[in-house]
Amino acid sequence: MNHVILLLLLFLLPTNSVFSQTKPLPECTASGNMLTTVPASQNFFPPIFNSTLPEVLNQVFDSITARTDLKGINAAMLLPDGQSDGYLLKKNQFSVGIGVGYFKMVDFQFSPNLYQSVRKNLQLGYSNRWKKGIFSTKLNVFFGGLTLNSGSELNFYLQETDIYGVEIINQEEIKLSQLGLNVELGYLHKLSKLASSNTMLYLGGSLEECLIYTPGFLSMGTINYGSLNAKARFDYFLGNGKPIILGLSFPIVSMVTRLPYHNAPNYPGKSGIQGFFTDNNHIETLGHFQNFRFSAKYNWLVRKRVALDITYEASWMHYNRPEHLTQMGNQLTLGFNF
Amino acid sequence: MKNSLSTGTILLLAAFLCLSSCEKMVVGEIRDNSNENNFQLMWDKFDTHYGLFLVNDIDWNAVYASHLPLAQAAKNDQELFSVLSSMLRVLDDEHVNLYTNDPQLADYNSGHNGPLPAREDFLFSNIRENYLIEYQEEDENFGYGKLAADIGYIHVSSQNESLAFYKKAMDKALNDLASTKKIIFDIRDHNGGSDNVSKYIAGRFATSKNLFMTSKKRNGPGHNDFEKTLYWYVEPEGGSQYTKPVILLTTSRSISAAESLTFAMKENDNVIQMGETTAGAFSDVVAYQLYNGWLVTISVGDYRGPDGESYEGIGIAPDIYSKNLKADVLEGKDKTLEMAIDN
Repeated sequence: MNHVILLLLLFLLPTNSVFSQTKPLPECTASGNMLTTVPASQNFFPPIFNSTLPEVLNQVFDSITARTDLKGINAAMLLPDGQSDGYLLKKNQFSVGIGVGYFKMVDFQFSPNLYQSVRKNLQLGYSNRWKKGIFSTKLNVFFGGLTLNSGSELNFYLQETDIYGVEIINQEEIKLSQLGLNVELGYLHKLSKLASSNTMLYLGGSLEECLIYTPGFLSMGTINYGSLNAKARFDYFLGNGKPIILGLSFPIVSMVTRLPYHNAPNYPGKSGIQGFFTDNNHIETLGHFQNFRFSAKYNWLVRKRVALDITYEASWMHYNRPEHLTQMGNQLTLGFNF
Repeated sequence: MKNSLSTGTILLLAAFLCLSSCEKMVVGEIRDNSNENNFQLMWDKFDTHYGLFLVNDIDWNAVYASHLPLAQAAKNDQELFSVLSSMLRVLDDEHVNLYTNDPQLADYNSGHNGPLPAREDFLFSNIRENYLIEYQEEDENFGYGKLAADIGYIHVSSQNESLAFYKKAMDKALNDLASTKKIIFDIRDHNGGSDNVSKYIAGRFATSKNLFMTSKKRNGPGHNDFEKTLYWYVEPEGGSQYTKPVILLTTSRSISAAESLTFAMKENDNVIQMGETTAGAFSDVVAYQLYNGWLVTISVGDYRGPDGESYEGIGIAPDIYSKNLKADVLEGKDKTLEMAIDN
């Protein structure tokens, strides 16, 4: 499976260069925050035949945005107050993303064996760019089957005998799937003094709530946590004017809930979900609950109000109570920003 | 530009490859799937989680000592299965099972010392076909109807749906059976579910609040490590209660939540239990997987009756004993039910 993702990554990354404009734009002059339009001689309707689809799309977007006063990423490079704000398309920005991830997990509360999951996720986001920072909120919903890393299926056999004495072997297959919900609210403060001609650094934090649940006989990986995270963001502008946005996040303090030691929360008059959260919430610092996430985001195919991005995220989570749960994974998300 | 893109590509690939190659470090070493390791893991898991060592006075260390050489000598899955089954036999607990992924080995139940035997004293199809004059099935495990114009019948064979389901189902059943002079409540093939559903269902027949059960569960590695005791009360539930006579039918296959339901029902003055002694397996059970993929189920609790006594391995004895004969069942007869109708 790793190879599949690696191939996918290798396939996707070079496409950035395909999607990039292969020729620099005709020079523009900046006047305040307004940019002049491209010269009249610019061909607004470039030939679209004999080109790849990405090239065609790029050319179409170029032809559209060339009529505006701001030409996407490249135009942003010409902003007089520096380069690092322009790729943020506007002050308020919404995003929708879909992605796929590959995760591995071991949960000693249920099994010493390694499990794997291919997760599909849907993200909804909103960000508001202030002069000194970025406020953002994100909702991420994910689900995926959970199977033994060895590839073995969870088939079990039960022998039954009916009243006539006939013996039957019944095959019972346990199919596990994980469901998850993640909500995050954060702020990143721009450290302008540390900016250079092609870099920008942000530091901040976020409040996050995450629930991962595996229904059924083996509820492995089930966890809920609410965290106060420290976050950092580093923007590195490539030669084409588009930034690679690197992110790092880890929890400072968290309220973590796992199934109790005996794995069977069952209280008089309480539902299963109420039982899960009863006498079972622990405030943890980094020593006991770790959840490190690294992300790299790249925007491309941008015009004034619309951008696509691809985000790679690597994560590693570990909690040691009541028994060790470790989960790590890689995820690729394709985002649509407007 | 190419250089810049290469930089980005390298950054992403480096992060990806780092996370991939570090897998063993972050997930941890997985121990060998040897017979001895599987034996050790199963023994450890019971040692740290099983709730009835003290109740049943079981020397688990002695079990380890006697079975370790056998596990070390086991040459194949068949022999390992024999060793593990022999260990679990000591517990004599119908909630303890070993499930394999081999159809030749299938499964083992500690209380029955083998796979589940045939149920020879009850067939629900006999009641459907030969006794019920009307029947409404809410799902395959819950239904109600009439055995005569004035005798109601409720059949519950598991309690695995949501509490909301049973609230609705009990409302419908008791509304439909409100005019009857008694209800026969049949849980003879009930294989368990939620204790809160037991509490609710019994509450539909209650006129006062009474303790029907206590429970406590393991919270540490010591055999006496338990969390605080929980007290389970039956009290009037729902919009109305059925306070006319109720006959609760049980067999030795009425197990787990069927037994908490029996505890709760018997706290109501209008309920008598008829049939056989219940299975005697009350605790919640959890599943754990061994290195070889097999599953074991472990009773993690110490459940007691309202008198503070443990009925694990004993069961709840009926007020009126009756057991169907296999020959009668095969002929479509249910003598226990007939006795309840005439009672």
